[in-house]
Amino acid sequence: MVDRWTPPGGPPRPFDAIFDEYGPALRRLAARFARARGDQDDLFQDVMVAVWRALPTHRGECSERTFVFRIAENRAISYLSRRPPATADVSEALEVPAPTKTPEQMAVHNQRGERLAAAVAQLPPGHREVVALTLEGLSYQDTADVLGITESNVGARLTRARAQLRQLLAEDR
Amino acid sequence: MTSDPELDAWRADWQSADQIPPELRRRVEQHIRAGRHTWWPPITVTVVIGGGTLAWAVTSGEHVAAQTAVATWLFIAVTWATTLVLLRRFGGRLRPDAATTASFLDFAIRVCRATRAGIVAGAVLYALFVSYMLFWRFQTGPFGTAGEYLFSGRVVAMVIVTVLLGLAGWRRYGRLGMELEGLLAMQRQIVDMPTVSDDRSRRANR
Repeated sequence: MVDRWTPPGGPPRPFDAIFDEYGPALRRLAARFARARGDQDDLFQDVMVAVWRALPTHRGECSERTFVFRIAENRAISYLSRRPPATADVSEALEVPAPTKTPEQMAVHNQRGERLAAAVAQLPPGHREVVALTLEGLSYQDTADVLGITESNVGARLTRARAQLRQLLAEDR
Repeated sequence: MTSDPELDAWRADWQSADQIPPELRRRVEQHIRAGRHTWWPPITVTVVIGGGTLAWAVTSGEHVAAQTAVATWLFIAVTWATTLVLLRRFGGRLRPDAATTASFLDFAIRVCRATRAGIVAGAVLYALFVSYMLFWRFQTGPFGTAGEYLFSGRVVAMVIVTVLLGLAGWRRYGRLGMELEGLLAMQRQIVDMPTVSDDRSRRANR
């Protein structure tokens, strides 16, 4: 047990709960910013620790999810700025899928997930991050809050990115 | 958010693989626990360098040794006091990790530039200080010729330390330059990326 955090106006939450809730999304983020599996693990560790240490400073100025993703994006940017630019090797990034699905469903989902992740990795960074945050379940407003751009900018980038993704996914078949 | 079947399907695929290896969780927990012991390096430096200069002053009895010990402990005291005041004042918010990406990039770029400028300023100040100290020591010390002084053990040691510091500073300056380029590129790509709506409003405003 690594202590617990009490959000403003909420019950205490242990580290495991935070890890389970945000870990998978942050792992996917690490896969976007780092190529080698080892680097992805290092970045994920760095991001997760940064999030855990920063949570006590969250005063409700934005949603918890937005707060977490801001920290994650900024940590990943810091990491990337100190290394040569490289696209993420997404084929190694995805883990064993959720056990609630049948093996056949898992195989199909995993394959589609890998193709989608590979396509997203080919997008320009400005589109890639908008798409990735949207696919993580953030609204246009939350995505705009994370990146520091306008909501209309998010919408415009997402529209262009979706067109590019459709093309990439169609070419991949 | 309104229903969007294509995005919903993509979202399901995107989030389909979501298990993290247990060893990675343990690594994160260990890292968090280890963070609680980050005070050991500065304590060690204080004890070794501060204690070392003090021991030198006491055992040698030289005036220079005593001055060095006093200056060292003054520096240590100021550094500790500043660190504790900043930690108390800003907590963990010295780096705005929780800022928006745009603000964070802005901040990181400014810090990078300021650090590089600081390295240059520090090098200039160091060069001036060392030059003055060497000159003052030569004037007040029991040395014969300038050649004897410049090739004395202490001056040679100081030159070696200066060269090593210079190389370290040069390397750091170069790395910060690469980091600055990376940050500026990301700012262009993620924050300043023109969109269709930007293009349209630019055309409309002509």
